[in-house]
Amino acid sequence: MDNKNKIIISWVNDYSDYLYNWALYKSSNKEVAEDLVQDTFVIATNSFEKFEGKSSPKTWLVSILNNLIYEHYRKKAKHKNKIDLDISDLFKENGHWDVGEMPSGDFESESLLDDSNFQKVLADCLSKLPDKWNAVIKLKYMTDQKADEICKDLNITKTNYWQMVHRAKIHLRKCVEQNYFNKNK
Amino acid sequence: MKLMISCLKATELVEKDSLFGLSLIELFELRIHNYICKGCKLYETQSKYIDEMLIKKFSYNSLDYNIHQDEIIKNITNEKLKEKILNKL
Repeated sequence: MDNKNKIIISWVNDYSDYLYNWALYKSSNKEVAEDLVQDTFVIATNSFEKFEGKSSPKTWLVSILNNLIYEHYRKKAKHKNKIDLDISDLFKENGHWDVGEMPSGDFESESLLDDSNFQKVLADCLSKLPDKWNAVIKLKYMTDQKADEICKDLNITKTNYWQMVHRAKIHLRKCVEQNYFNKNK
Repeated sequence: MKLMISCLKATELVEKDSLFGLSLIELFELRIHNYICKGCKLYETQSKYIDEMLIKKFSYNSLDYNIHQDEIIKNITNEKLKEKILNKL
């Protein structure tokens, strides 16, 4: 067995779990997470020569994984989708909030906002969004890319992008309010 | 410029601001609306908080945030996955 193989095998044993948990955290899906980790090691094996030991193996593997995660969401965001995320159930014809839809709750007193619980609720609510909107929202936060660049990358207009983010956020916020803030009352 | 924009428009402007920024007029319209409308003011606060939380979770830099807590990132051992990978090497 050559040296390269030995090293990669040791990486699998040492870092596979870490990478899996990271991918699971970012994708909220076991199958997707497993595929992403497998692909990470395939890429690492094929571009092993490029790893010059400048960073730690873990850092290098995580960066490969992050790129794969980004690509995963980019594909989903670009997916041609006939269904549109509707917000007409939240607003009246005149643009006012529909009955019972107006944001409420004493946000300021939530000073002890529990980040980790909030993240759980947020993850659940994200998973309720249709795939495409779920991906569009996540892409926004993943990189340092400016919104203009993301539009070009996804091949959509600024208005289109903005509308998608708006619709996703409207639903996300509502779900979070219902499941997090109202619970604490 | 409308004196009073709708709530729907106000929420749209909040999101537009986070992506592309707003023109002076749009900013003015939003500020006036949110000064008067409690619901939309709350929408803005909550939307920004959600943004912060999403950045923490999805930004490539999230290694910088100390999020390696058991409740958020799990510590699962996946032996089957390891076997799968090793078998394909």
